[in-house]
Amino acid sequence: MTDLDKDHHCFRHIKKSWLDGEFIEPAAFRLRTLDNGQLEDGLSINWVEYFNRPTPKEAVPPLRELLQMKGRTIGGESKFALLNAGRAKAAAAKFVKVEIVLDEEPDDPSHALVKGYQQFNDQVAEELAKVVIRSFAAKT
Amino acid sequence: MLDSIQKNLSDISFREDDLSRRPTQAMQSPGLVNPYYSNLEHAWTTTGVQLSFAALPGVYVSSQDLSYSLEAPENIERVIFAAIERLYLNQHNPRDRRIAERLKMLYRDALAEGEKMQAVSITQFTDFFVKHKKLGMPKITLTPDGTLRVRWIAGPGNFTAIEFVGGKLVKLVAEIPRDGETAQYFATDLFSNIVSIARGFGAQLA
Repeated sequence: MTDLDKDHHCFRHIKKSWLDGEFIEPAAFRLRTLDNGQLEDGLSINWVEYFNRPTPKEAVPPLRELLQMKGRTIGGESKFALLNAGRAKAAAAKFVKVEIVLDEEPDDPSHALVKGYQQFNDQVAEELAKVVIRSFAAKT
Repeated sequence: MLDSIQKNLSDISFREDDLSRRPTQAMQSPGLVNPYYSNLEHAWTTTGVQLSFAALPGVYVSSQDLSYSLEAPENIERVIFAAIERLYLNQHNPRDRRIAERLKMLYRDALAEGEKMQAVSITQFTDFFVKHKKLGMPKITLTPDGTLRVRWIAGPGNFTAIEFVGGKLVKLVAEIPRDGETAQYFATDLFSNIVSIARGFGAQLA
């Protein structure tokens, strides 16, 4: 798996139920508990620069299309939270060193993961939420 | 199934005059369309968790299979109905009506997004706000694990969040300004004491 460049960016899809107005629930950056009681391997994100658009905002429509092709529900009032890879790693480092790696899938070459914070799930989630640069409506 | 649940939820209505009556009278009012309300009359005299669970007709759950049995959409719907009703009837508290509206919205959103909600979390959340009538209106969200979480934000580096995980415990996250620095708290503690614990380290739940 390839590390994302520290100057590159990623999107995390934030469901509407994880939002209250403009407030993004930091648990949106928490690793989910799987049915076996273990935490998932990494936080699913998407590499913004893969879409090769002039601005992050312009990467939203192709990302949305790609996720919908994968069968994901993208609600009209959900959002994409934008993070910088370097800042996200630095923020998490307050508790633990994390990796942000490309995790290409056959139907999603932009898929990436934030990995390595199972022991500090709540703490790192709080820190990642603090470094959200801005969020974009999933559908405009 | 989902269409049916969403329709039932949209049918919930609480008439102003219902709310001025005793709970059992309100439950029998034609203004309340939930078919399960008749079963709530007996349950009303019981407390907290029992209220919601006893209100489920034909559903008996032991503590061991609680989380499994109550995750079925129709069971979650019943727990949501009971929670919303308790909040609406909580002494005409405008905050609790807003919380009830927010809970209803979160339930709809969760259904639409394919997210789960944990029944034990909904019940604990409701118990909390029914008990603590003077706390402010927080941000209320669902977590990816299906638990409800609330957050009072006083400013940058100054917030208190409580996550309702069910049972006797809740999770608490807080940041409190201290002499130019920020104290951080990540804790799991007793539901029954969490407000006094949070206030003890300076949390503002307003």
